[in-house]
Amino acid sequence: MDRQKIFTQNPDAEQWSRIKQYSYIDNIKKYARANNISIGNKECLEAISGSIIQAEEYFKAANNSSFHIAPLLYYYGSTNLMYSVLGLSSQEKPIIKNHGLKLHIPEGKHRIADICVQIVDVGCGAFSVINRDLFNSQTDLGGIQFKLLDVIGSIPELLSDFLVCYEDGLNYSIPINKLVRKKEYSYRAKIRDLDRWNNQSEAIEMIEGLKSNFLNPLVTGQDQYIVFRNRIDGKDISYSSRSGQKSFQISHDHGNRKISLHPFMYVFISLFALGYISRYRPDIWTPFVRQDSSGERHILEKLVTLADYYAPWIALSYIYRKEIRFESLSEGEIDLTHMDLKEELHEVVQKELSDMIRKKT
Amino acid sequence: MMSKSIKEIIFSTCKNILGSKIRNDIKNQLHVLDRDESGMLAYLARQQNLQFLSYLIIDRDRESYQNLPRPLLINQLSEAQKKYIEIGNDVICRVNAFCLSSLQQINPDLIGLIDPYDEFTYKGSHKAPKKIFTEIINEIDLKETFNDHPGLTIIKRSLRAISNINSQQFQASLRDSIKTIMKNIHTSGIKNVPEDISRFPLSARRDSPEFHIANLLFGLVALKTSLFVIDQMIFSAFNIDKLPVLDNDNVFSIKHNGHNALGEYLITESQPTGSELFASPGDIIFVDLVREDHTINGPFLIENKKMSLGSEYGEKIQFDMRKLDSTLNPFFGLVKYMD
Repeated sequence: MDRQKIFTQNPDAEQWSRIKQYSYIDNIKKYARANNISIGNKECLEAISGSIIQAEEYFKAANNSSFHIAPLLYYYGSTNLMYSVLGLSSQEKPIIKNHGLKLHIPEGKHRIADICVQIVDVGCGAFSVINRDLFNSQTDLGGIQFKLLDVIGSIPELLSDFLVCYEDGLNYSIPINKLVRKKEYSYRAKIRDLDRWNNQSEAIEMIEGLKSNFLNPLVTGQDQYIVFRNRIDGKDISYSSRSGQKSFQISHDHGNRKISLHPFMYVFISLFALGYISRYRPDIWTPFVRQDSSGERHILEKLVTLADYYAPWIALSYIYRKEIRFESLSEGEIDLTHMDLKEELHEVVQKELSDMIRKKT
Repeated sequence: MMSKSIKEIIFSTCKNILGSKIRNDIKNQLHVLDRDESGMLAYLARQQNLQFLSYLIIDRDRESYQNLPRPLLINQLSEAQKKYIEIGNDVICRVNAFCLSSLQQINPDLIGLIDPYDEFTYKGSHKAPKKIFTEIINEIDLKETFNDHPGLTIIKRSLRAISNINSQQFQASLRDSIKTIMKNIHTSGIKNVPEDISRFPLSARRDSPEFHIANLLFGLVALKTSLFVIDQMIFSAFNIDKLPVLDNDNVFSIKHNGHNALGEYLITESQPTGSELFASPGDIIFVDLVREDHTINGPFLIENKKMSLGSEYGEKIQFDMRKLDSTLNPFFGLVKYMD
């Protein structure tokens, strides 16, 4: 995906401002024309416009609410926003009939992270429609059940908190640095970021798309790093956060199915789970919000804060069909182009010297 | 039926060598030498790119290495090592002789200018068994195919216009010129053409003596280099099981892939995966790169190698290579140039 830089002092406000342009019917039509899509019917245009307006209201309300109900409002807001984006890009009303997710709450005392979420109705469930149409992701997910612990462990932005909070959790996301050179790039991960995995090679093999797009990983820097070099014509399979931090996603092993979702979908599942418990199981949620001493509340609050900017950023990237960057920060990249320059200079000097020697002899 | 190319015949010869019994004996002796860390013989021999002959000459002259300002220890070859290395050397000498046999009729004085071993005198006592030349090396095919080498064609053409070819002075000047051309090619770097070659077509008329001499020189360079590659491939067949390979599983960057008046060149960056780690300038490497819109496939001659090991950004090897054509000549551009 191409990248677009937008310079602003307030990325959160800027992304909503740009999304809200499409709450106007005429702008929705202009978008369709600019992207060579047939303009949707009146009902569709109203649905797109209305969903954007409602989504923003949900987000505003969530932002001003306490942790008791904020997850539910962010979940509704995210669903509305994604619905509008799908409608805008297809100029058709997406067919969504239910959440497409089902909660399984274990009996007895447990952590929120022990709750399980199952994917149901892969045809018309909100989860499956968004996952399929927004991220072109795999569709054979019916019946798949995730433990919330693994879902949270798959969200790159939460990695450091996850490792502190859940000592038994496996991280399904590896932070990486992009090593950029003139003609190629590679990625580098720290081996210690895979410490939770007993079999680190197995974890690396489970990175979706790694084998077909990257050479065998190399251990370097006195066993500190793993370098992943892109194959010639290989695709970039990394995920970028809004700040530019990059990561590889490790697939979840569900027997013969290896599942890897876009990180946003893990946020979506988490919001659904937290929203559902807060709405339907106050007997679990309220004591947790009031009394948690384990630190789990901290990471879940961070997750909800993440949702505040994450869903609008994903929505805007999808609308623009570009990866949006709001800042000039490039914390995820290490620029090695100076090394190319050094090699080129070396070649020039070598050639000049050779010419001089040849002329003298 | 289309006749086979030099490349096809040499590949088939190498395949025959790989399946031969004597190859195991030769390979075992070379590997014992390679593993001997107490002396420098194997290391120095690899640097010289004279195949088996390097080992024999260094062994013969081993005492001179003791007299260097920084003496080098050269362990004497054992009887068995010497025997099998001499046999390997005899095979290559005979192959060279087969390839150059057609020059006997054209101008025998040119053989010395082309034979890569001409400058070196070594008399061994062990000869290769006769059956090697009946079962492994097809003498007739080799002679006939080398006779069609385009380098030979331009040599024949130029000889018709040069009268003093057999004078000793002219021979010496040809020998020096070949050395200068080769040196200039190597020092110019793989992407560049030495100025005297690149400016040549602008400065010489096709009927001028300069043009005919250049024809002769470029033809001699082409034949000499083809023969060097043939020797190196046969040596490799005795020494390693498979040519090192650069392919989509180790190459991560094609820095340059182009052509110039000399031929085609390729500069890749790869991460070490196997035998290519030990390949050196002068060795032959097989390239098999499949890209979205084209492929790069075939044997290449390694001109330069740069290794970056132990880097925290990942180990890498850069190979600067020249493509070998069907006559195993990396400078096929020079020959086409003169047509």
